[in-house]
Amino acid sequence: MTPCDPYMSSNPPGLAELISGKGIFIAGAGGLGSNAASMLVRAGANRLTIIDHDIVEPSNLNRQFYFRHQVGRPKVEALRENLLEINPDISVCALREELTFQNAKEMIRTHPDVVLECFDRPESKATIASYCLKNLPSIPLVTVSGIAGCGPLSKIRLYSPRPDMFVIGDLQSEAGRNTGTLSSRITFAAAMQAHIAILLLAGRLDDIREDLHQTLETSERHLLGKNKNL
Amino acid sequence: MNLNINGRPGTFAEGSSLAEVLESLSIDPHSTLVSVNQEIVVSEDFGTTELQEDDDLDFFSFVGGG
Repeated sequence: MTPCDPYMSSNPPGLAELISGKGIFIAGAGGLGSNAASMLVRAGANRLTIIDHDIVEPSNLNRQFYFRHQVGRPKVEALRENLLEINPDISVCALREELTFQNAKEMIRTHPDVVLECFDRPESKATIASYCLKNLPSIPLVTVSGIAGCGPLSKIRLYSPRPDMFVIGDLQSEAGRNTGTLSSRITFAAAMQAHIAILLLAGRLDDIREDLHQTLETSERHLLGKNKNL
Repeated sequence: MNLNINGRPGTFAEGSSLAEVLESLSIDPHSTLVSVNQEIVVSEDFGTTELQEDDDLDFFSFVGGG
């Protein structure tokens, strides 16, 4: 990336340069991961690793960053292709694997600067969170919990229950047969995830602190107490 | 035995394991991030982790969707 790259010129001055070269590990290429990845690339991210074992299905297209001609293809391959359409000069390592506690060390070997948890199943979310917080304690983890349905956006908040762990969501809205997942709400959470990653990579902790301050209005204040860094 | 659960006091049987405390609180062990005195405990160790008086337990249960 050159300082006068016309494709990055509308970003806040200097921001793309701060994000460029930083390693971003995205666990899951569904509604959260595919949308967060596209936003990060538009902001100047150019070193991404994305892991997902699924293929693109018709039911994904209500919220995920894929197109009809990509149905049936591995998500990581389709996402890599779409991200390169935004910026052909980036590096996207696409891992078509299921991330487990057992293979996490091998999969997350690219020394990321930030990890985004973008899975759908709560068990997968807990698995990667416990792995990362136990084994990669200095690498910030940005997770999501409680974004299904079509409830109010104002309940989707940023929490930080422990050092280097950030949680986005209302903590309650669970995906189920009668709930569904809506493009606007999922993409809102993906945007928050991408934004927190950008602020972390750019060292803008004051902005994160302000987002956390908004959470003081909620009843889950205990989820702010353990992060002594902020 | 007194334990602090997410910052609130609770009383449990002496020598309870982490798995037993989770079960008594009806917390799903598979979708919950667990720490004891700020140290993360992985789910395969829940049954063998014996708790001590005044331990600080933090549970964060994830819900699905993404």
